[in-house]
Amino acid sequence: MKKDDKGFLQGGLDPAVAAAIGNGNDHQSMASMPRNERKKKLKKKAQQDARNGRRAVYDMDPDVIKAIADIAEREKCSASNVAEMFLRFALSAKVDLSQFRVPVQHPRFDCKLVWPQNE
Amino acid sequence: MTIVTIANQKGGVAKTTSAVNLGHGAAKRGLSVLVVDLDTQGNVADALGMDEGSDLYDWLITGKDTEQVAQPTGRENLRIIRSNKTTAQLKVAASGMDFREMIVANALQAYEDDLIILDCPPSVDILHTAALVAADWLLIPTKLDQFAIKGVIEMLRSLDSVQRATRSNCKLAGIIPTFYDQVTSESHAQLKNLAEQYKSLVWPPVAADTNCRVANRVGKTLWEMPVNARAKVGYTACLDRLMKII
Repeated sequence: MKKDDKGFLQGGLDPAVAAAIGNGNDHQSMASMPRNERKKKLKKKAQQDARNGRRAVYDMDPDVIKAIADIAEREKCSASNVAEMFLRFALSAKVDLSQFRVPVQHPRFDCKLVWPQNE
Repeated sequence: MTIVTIANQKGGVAKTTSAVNLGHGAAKRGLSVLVVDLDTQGNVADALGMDEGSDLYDWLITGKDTEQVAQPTGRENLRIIRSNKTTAQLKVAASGMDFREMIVANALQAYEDDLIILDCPPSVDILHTAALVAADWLLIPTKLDQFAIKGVIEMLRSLDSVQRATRSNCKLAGIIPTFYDQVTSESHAQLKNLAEQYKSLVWPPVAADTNCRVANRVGKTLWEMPVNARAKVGYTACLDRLMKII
């Protein structure tokens, strides 16, 4: 999506506003549903809520996301499974991440881990 | 230094709550912040657990030293210029001055804080205009009801008039929907309408949350409240947006 020079999305909604509207839409439509439909919807929502804490969203470069998807397709498994295996592998090998650490000017983070360009 | 004016001509839309929580939030992220209370009610001091004071009058009318009027709040990186009933006298005194709409902009030149937040009164007066002249950005909190949203439209007209008359550089940073309640259809419909009209200028909504009122009563900001307040989620997202314009 197009962004202005300050990084704000142009012509689109802030994701948090869109999410709030989406949640509100769900609430409003649920209120006007027949009882059995509402029951089904609530059951589905309970299943989704049960998955909470097992899901995470990370910002990554598109090429990294594609690489994970390609491996998942090759191994006939899910992308989450591939990401989990790599992380477990890195943890078991006790990889020292400090070697990749680069200081950055960011309101929340002091550093960024950067993969060396020549590899 | 970035100057942000928080204003809406409608009262009770969380202008002071937004000013105090965004100010303290930015201070906690390491910025030096000054919040200036331009309202006769002096609620900024109340919200931070301090007594009201005539700092604003002393600063703008008697010409008291800038460092003397900016009061420490006991919170790291956060100072305030307090207001009280003397602000009403200030408006009368300022109305006879030359270049009165520059009164706040000129006074703020002595400060070097990273972020200055001007908390405006819910009226169109000399201080309201002076705040728009001084500011780089305007933030408009609005309750999700018809009258408050009318206030947003009036506020945008005000900004346009001030820009034309004074060549002010103040731009609209965003609109913060406050007291959002996704369960009530009116709150939801108004948020949708606001998002359709102003698109990316609508900042993340801040949920209606009793903790805000409790925080005001005990003189703390939301960041100092022990409970996991719902409004914190909205203000955290708004703070992320604010950091991008500083």
